[in-house]
Amino acid sequence: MRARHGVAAWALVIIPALLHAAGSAEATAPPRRWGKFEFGPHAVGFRTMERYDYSRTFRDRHGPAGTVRPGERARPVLIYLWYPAEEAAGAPRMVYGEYSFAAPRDPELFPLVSRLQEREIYSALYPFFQGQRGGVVDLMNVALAAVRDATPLAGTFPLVVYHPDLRGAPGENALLCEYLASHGYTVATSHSVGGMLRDPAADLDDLEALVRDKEFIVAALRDWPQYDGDKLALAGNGFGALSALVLAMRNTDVDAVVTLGEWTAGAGRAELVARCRGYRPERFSAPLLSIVDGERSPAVSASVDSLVHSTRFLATMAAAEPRGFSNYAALAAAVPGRGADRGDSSYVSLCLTVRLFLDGHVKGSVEALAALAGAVSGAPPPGVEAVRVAHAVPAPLRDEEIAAVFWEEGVTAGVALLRRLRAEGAAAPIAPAALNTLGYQFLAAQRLEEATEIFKLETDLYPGSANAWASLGETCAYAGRADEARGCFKKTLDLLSIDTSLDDEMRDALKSQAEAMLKRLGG
Amino acid sequence: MNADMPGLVRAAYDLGVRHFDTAANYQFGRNETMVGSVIRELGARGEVTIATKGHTRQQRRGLSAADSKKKLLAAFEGSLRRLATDYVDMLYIHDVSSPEDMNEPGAIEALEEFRRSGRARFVGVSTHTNMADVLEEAARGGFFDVVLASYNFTMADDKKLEGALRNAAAKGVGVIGMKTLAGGDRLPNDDTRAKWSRETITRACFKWALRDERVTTVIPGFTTREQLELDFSVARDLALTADEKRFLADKKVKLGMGFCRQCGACLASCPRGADVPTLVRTHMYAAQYGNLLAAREALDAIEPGRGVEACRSCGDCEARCAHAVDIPRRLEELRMFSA
Repeated sequence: MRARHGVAAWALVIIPALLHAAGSAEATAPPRRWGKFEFGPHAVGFRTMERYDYSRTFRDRHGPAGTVRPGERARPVLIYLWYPAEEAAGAPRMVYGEYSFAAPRDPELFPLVSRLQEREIYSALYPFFQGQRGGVVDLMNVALAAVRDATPLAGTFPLVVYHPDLRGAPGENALLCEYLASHGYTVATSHSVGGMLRDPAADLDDLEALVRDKEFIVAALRDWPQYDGDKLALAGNGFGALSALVLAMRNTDVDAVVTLGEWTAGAGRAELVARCRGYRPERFSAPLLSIVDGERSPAVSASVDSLVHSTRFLATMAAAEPRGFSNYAALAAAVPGRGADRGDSSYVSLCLTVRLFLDGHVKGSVEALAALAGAVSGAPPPGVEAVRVAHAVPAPLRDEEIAAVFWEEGVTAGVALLRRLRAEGAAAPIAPAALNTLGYQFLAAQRLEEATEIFKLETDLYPGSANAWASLGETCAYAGRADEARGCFKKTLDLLSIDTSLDDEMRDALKSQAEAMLKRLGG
Repeated sequence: MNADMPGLVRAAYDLGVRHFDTAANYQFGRNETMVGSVIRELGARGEVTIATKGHTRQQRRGLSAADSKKKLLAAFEGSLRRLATDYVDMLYIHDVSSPEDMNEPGAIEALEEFRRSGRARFVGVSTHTNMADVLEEAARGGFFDVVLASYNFTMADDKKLEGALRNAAAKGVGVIGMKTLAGGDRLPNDDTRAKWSRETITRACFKWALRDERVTTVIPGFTTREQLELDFSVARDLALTADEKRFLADKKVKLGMGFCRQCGACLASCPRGADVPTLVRTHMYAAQYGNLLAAREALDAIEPGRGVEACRSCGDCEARCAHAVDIPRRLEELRMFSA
């Protein structure tokens, strides 16, 4: 179980140690340079995997003419996968265009993928280069670090699932993905595709589709030989951050979440995400790193503040381009005359900050945690303005977690836990109905004494509950302790008129039961 | 090939393909890089011919001949760099549609400079429109070595094109065919698909073009190994089967294919000056090839004001079309795509 920390107010934390930590971590291996990047100790492989989510249809069974459509109708997910790889001496490094134009083997998918390629080029790249085609061409031919289809390195590695922006491309942060893979992560992503449309909208249906795509990737990669089932992190950019957060609320196996950019920007996004199935901030306890543009941080800051059960890092840095945090500026910086140092320095810092956060919270790296913890004094790395941190408020134990203690550790332990929580100030450490149900489950399991203990506890915690007293009366009667049972049922009748938790039906039922039992018990 | 699949280029070479056609604007140069890297990896540069193309249409607008030449030379040099080679076997001016396009001084000078320096063994033009005029000009002028032209069996009755082909061949101008499948194997007509198998259609179309001795080769696009193998299967035997003969003789098929020959007859009929042939070709990229990026690029190349926004669905173009191309429907679909 993840450690839960005490309450702490926001504090301004500068992270001077980050670069030093990175330098020392990489000192043992020859640096792999890419511009200002120093990649990690592992070579990087890349491949695509075509999978179909058969729980969802993507194309209607029937065409407009009413005839059954041939071919696959399940929802396709083209998974992009970066991974630590064996050295492939002399193998050509991939160029960016290979990410943009990664092609499906299934010809039925070609129109869809072609449309998505068009989207990246016309929605992201042309605007980035102010409509200059030459810039796009140059970018397509920038060589990166990965080797296509390289042999995966033996061993298991944490999985990071990356969520692109609303209409973002899988390669929008390919540099970050390569960088993380070089440091021992498998990183997977896919195009952002709407529920039944090609381009997703910022609405509930498409947010759900995006979340489910990434859930599908987590499931699909269980077959990947490097899959480590115990270590899972999510990263999302812009709108993708919303889907990452929702997925983390649904899946308590998530160890850490990284968000990039203004995920709260856009009309109604806060309301949108709140209506998404599985949106439960009270269940979000994974550590969170949010990297935002300094000028726009207040909105994100407020949203991050609300996730009180998570240890939250808020890093502010200038986004390299108006669209936010993607690798295009860093890639353009690699092209002479195209993007001269517009973003590679800050992007290096972004990658480094993300990696240290993940190393610390996913891999449990002492050095990385020390770098983060020791960042209170000193200068931040170039490009990063500051990092604030707020430690998690312990999340209240859920009723089902408490019930599990009763079953797995025994009733004595469960009772002690609830008494301790009450002593620590929790007015209702477990819902009365949940505790009452638990008592009856023990009773049904022929564990009368333990059931009685639970109902006794219920009357202690909620002495005004008529139902609790009736339940205790039942077990006492079963145990042959008539005097105690009579006392309980009399208490029940006394409380009926003042127990505001009862509805009329329940009140009538308890009254009938108590009177019948008193009649039967006599005295 | 309009997909980034180096493995498929390798497979094509292994199968026996020796001519590779690409262009500077295919996938924003990525296609040239892919072809070049695979050929270099195979160590096969001496065994294959590589053709590439450079666009001038947009560059020429408002440019002097000197500036046009300069830009084109820079574009050609970029192609050589991406192809990782010192020379290409064929260097085309991309997508010309008239003798005036062909003879633009800046382009001629740039091509000649590349040919003279050995960086292009042969120079030529590619054309989808006015093929007959372009071929005639190539035969008459004597400058161009090769023409890459749209050519398929739906054009069998085009007397003007036939004459132009004959003249070009007589003058030693090489002709390479494209659009040989008359719009890909996603035919617009369900009846045709129901009646003829994909294999029959594909093989018949390729054999029809390759049996013509004036045609040096054809350049079908493919995105899967199955398509590659089917396309290449005709290379071993050009004899037409009985089925293939029946397919080629089926008069309903030609109409059913709905292939736009880019003759330009519809241009004069449009009261608003829409570039109907290019729009119809764009529709083919989007709806039949499924290549929406290529469609978007083709749309972008249309002069402002002559795109799909100019069409008011009056239907005059369809009435003018001698080949039963359902132009209004295609433009309507294109309008949805480009929205």
